[in-house]
Amino acid sequence: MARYNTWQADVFRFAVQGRGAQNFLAAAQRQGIRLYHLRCTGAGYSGMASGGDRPRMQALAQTGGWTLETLERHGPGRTLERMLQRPGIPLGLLLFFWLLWWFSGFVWAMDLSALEPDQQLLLESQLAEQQIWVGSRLDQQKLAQAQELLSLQSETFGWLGLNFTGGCLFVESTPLETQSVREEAQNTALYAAAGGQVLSIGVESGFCVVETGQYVSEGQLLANALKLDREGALVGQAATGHITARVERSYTATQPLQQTTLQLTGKSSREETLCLLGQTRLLRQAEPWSHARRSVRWIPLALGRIALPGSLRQVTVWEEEEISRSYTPEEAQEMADRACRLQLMAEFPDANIEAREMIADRQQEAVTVTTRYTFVADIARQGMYTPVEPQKETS
Amino acid sequence: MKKQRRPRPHKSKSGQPPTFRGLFRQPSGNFYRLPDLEVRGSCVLTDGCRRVLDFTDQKLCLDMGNSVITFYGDGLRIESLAGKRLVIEGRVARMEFSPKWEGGNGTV
Repeated sequence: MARYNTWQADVFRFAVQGRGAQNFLAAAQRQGIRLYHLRCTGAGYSGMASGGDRPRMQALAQTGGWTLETLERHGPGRTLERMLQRPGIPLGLLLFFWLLWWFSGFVWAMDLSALEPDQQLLLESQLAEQQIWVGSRLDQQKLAQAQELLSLQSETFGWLGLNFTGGCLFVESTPLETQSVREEAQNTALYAAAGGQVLSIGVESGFCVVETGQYVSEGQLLANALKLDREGALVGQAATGHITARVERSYTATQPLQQTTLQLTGKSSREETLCLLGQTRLLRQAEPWSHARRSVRWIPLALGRIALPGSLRQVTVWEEEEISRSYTPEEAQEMADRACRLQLMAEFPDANIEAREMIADRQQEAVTVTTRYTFVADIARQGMYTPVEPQKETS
Repeated sequence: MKKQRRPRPHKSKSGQPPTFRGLFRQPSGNFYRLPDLEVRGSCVLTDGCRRVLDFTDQKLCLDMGNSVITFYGDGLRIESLAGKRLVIEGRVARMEFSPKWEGGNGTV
């Protein structure tokens, strides 16, 4: 305690007694000690002085043979002494504020309530890829980097804002709005993707070279970008639009009767990783299956209703095994027919099927199906224009 | 008509009339080191007090260098004593100026 002069900021009331006590006042005056509220008490004097001058006053009183007594003490010195006697209190305060600052750097909670449930799961996994989860340490640089990456990668959110304050990560977003802008055609022509009878013509620009009811073959020019005017000069305009035709087309697909596929066995295993205060610790390891499906779930840790800066990463692994599946010829035929239909839809998405004729070839190991479809669809496909020779002027 | 008399010019203590030059003359060299006494209500402010010679409720005796000033009154107390500055509070009834040494003129 002697190392710290806790009287420095205090003022104290003193009483000086002894023979010729007024000489104490004169001596204090010479030493430059400021005294105030001095009163005569009969046997001596009482007054007030600054706590910082107390050692000099004590030395003066000792030298002059006077008795210096401290009557009252005002100021923070006494509290400071108590604090120094119990250093745990100031240290505890310092530790509290330091921990407050340190803990606020961790993600304690993630507020994704503004998003749809499926979007929450998606964003949670995307944030986890950026090493951001409940319990991870987060700074503004990491946050800005993650926000930039997520905004670039995401096909769900038009704008994504990550706000991190007081240990809580708020996510704000706006849905992605796609505005389809048709690319300006550059001297393109329309060609037939399949042969058939033209039913309707919806050419928006360019110069149509076919008529309704006309039969066209696959690859035939339907509308060109160039045309000669009456004077034989070239006129250019890119061909766009649609030409609907009735088409007959065949598709073939083969379905084996025996096929190896992956099937869930019903067995599951769980991998658990504790992510707490920026540290991760594997609690339980999953079974090392060669074929498995995985689903990840983040469970925030909480003590009652109080969130903790940590989460439990739970990966559920479902075992799959390769099995040889055998189909009956009827099943295989249906599957092959479905594959044919899928081929048609991939080629002509707007196809309206009018008639279907299926020929199945059942062999020992596979069933091959050839389906002939009669359908109505847009057969116009864009391609390079066909050059037209300008007529020479005869005059 | 009664003749109006011209007012007489004022004369200094030395008997010499004050001159225009004298108005702007500097005071003597130790003028600002001389003890200073200021009375404000029930407070007396002094500057130049070398030491407190005697201090009771009814009497306060101060060494002011060449002279000694004694305050008589009731409930006298020193409100502040810092260096040569001293503030006295209380009901001052009388002040007495006396020379510090015998043969002095006692002027402050």
